[in-house]
Amino acid sequence: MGESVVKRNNSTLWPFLSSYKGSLSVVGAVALAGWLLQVTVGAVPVGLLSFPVNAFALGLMVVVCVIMAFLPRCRGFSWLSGLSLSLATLSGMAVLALILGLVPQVPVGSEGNSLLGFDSLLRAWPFVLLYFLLTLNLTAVIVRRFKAFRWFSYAFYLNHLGLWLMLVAAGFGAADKQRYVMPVMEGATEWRVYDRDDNLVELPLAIKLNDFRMETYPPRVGMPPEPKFFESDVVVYTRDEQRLERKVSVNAPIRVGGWMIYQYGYDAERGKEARWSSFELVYDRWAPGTYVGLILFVLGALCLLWKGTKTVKLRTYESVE
Amino acid sequence: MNPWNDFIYLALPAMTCWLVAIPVLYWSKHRWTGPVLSALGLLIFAAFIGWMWVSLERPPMRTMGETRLWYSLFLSGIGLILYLKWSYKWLFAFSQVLAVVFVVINLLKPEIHSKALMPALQSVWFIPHVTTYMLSYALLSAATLAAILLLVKGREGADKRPLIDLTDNLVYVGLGLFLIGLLIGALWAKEAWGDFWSWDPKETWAFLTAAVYLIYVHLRLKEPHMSRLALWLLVLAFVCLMITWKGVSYLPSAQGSVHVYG
Repeated sequence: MGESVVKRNNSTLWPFLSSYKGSLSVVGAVALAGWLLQVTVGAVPVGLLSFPVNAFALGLMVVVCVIMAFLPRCRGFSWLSGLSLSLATLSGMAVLALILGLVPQVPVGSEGNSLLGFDSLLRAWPFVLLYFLLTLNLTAVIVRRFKAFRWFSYAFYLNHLGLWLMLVAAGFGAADKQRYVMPVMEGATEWRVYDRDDNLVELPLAIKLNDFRMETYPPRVGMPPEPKFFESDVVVYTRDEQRLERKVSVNAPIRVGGWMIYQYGYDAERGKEARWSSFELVYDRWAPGTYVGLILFVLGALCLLWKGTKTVKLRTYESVE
Repeated sequence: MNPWNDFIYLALPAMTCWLVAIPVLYWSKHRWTGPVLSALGLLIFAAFIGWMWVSLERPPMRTMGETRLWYSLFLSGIGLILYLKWSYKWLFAFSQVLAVVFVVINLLKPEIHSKALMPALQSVWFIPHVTTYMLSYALLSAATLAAILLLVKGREGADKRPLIDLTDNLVYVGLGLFLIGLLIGALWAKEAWGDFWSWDPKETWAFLTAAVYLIYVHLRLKEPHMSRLALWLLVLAFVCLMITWKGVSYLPSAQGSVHVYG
């Protein structure tokens, strides 16, 4: 008797989940769970998803999807890699994006005032959980379609793999990103910065500012001159005793041993006579993944231009088998 | 020798080819006369860019004027290719005219953009980022019109198939361009600010817009007939698109956005 009950539940559960309503309910439940967490334990702790936790979660996601894909007639996998769930997670993300687009957000690093995390949504549980679900769904879809690989669907692979890499490298990798702003006086050498909690951090590279140059547009009446171009002549010293003379300007950062150095600001009170210039230093070890994903996605988007809907119509919608 | 001094001698024939190609395409009996004329213009224009490349001894992509050259070239080329592929005459006409507009800007004001252009905008990514968006806005606007037409027509009539196909194709091509504009923006953002994506209000709204179009595209995979839900999604997506383009500046959430200038 017990067995037949399970069977009956099973036969109503999966069809329900596979419907739009069912998948939307799951997404709604995940978001609700997120908001419950938000109210009880507060925002997602900073650094919770930093290495190796993010890499582990990601690996687990891929392994689980691959195993499920090879289980015979796994209905869980059919659902997880199904179109209904894709539509539901996309809709959920769209609703969160709407909140994000309407509610003014507090600056990164400061605490939000909203109980539900509406003013710091990117660090709120519902956002993080739905982002996770979207990535999981995308992983399952890609695994399923690689299992039944067809060259014919190259546009599909480019678009979905590209998006996946970007979601993973830019999203899961965000917690590992290091970013500091470092002002340097003309003639001085600097390698220390303050982090968000005002702790002094020593960086593996030092910057000496030789010269700061600036050009301005002809001033308009009653307005301070607007900057046209500014540039810093720097010498970068690294731990392995390299000495690099470079120019840094807006839109032309330099790359030194995995660190990107950006022209950030300058002594605005003195303008052309500025005595200091500031640099933004970014270390993002996941960036190569984002670049590869981005290029794949651009190629996929070009396929959208070229193919239009024709291939989709030919293919109709491919099911699991 | 500065090739810009002789720009007009190659630009005028190229523009003439592009502009004459439009009426020829609409009224000539020979299907190929228009496209061949457009291709001839393309060739002349490409020759100028090649000449510039050789005489500058670097790819002509540094100044705004130089990037506009490429934009005209690509625009005319994309219009031609998409016409050969999809036979949309109006798209062909639109892109040829836009290509000419950018040549004219170069002729009249060689460095219009570098006048009071803040340092953050002085990048080779500026023009492709903005112009792919403009082209995609145009296509997606057309898709919205088609969707509204389908909504008004309602259930009756089996003659809706061509319009449904047109709507789908416009969304695919428009969304493809939209995504390319967005990804170019991400590349540029990494170069200018150190992040591919920072959820700036304009980025957030672009994300929302892309998400709604992606919902439409995926919803359409399963339905053989266009549902009213899908059509309403297109209208909703277009509202998001307009907020991304124009509306963002007026939202309280966008105060301090890096995409709002002056």
